[in-house]
Amino acid sequence: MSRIKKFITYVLLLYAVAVLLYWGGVRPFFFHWQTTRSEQQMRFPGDDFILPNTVVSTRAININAPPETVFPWIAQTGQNRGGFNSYAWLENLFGANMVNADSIHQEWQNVRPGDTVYYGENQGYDIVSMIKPDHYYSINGWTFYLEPIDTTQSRLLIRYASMEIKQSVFTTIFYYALFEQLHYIMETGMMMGIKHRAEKHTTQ
Amino acid sequence: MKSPANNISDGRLAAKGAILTTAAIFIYSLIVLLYVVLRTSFEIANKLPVGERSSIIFANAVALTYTIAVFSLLMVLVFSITGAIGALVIKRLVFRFNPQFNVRKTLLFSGMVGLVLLVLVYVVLRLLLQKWMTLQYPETLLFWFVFPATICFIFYLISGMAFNRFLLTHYRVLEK
Repeated sequence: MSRIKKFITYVLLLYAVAVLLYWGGVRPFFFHWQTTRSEQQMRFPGDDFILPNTVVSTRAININAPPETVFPWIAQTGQNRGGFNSYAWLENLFGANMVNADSIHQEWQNVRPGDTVYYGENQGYDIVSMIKPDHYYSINGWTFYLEPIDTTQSRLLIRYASMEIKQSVFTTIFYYALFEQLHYIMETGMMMGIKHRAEKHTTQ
Repeated sequence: MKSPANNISDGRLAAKGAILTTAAIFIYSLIVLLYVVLRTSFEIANKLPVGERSSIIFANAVALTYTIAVFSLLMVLVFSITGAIGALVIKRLVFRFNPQFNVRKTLLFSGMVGLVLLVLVYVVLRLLLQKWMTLQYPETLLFWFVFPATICFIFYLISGMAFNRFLLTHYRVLEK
């Protein structure tokens, strides 16, 4: 029994170290992943949809493909379309029934404000609020913004505002204990997924 | 002869059951952690250039550990109660129906109690998570119930054997 207690203590220590590392250094890194100060302060087209008492993050990634090659991957976002280009196997552990498309589907390209974007099969959804092809796409304040760097490269910036965390104690605990880290993992996974797919498409 | 039952208080036994189940859940959480960290790191390494990889792989591993820590602590809350109840039920069954502390009988009781309690956990999860706890969503069912339940069941059998060994030792000591 003493060996088992020791094992439990070591696991708890490992988890405590992870929590300390997260709050001590990883969290700030997450919030503004690969962005400059001006990008963090920049106004995004979907900012009007951001509610008060939300936690806002801005993240960026450089893609070796022009905006017009990147945008079709963003346009087909959603469980009811081409997936989220993230870790579908991880999303499916939560019953999302997610499939990431590996090609551009023309039937999903004509997205309009008011269209529904599902996060998982029969799970939560949001509404597309703004869209300007090859420039930006916003799902209720979650905005994907594309900037050309030159003729062959673009920069994808994503601004995300969380749920209103001060609604209740439960929401606050849920957000800080689970949602924030999971969202970071999935959103950065999505950005890398979009980059990977757009670059592969460009070289083919 | 003094009954060995007097030497094992219900509180201590329940605590041991809860501790063993906690260990089982932590073993499962470490397996899951290893799997998700390796798989996501491999995917990141495939998508990002060499210079940009290491910091995101590290941050990702920390975030995953945090998330799994929270999930496993939530699972410990549910499963450790069943572990504590299970230990007490096994004790009652052994003293009532297996006074000779036959190891096979104790194993049978441990297995049966483990199975019944895990079925109860499944019923609760099925009520809470509904269709996500069915074969319609195999990944969800395996990840949230089948794998942790299998590890818990194995722990029930190992604990049953250890409990029987403990009883035999005490019984002989007390008989002398």
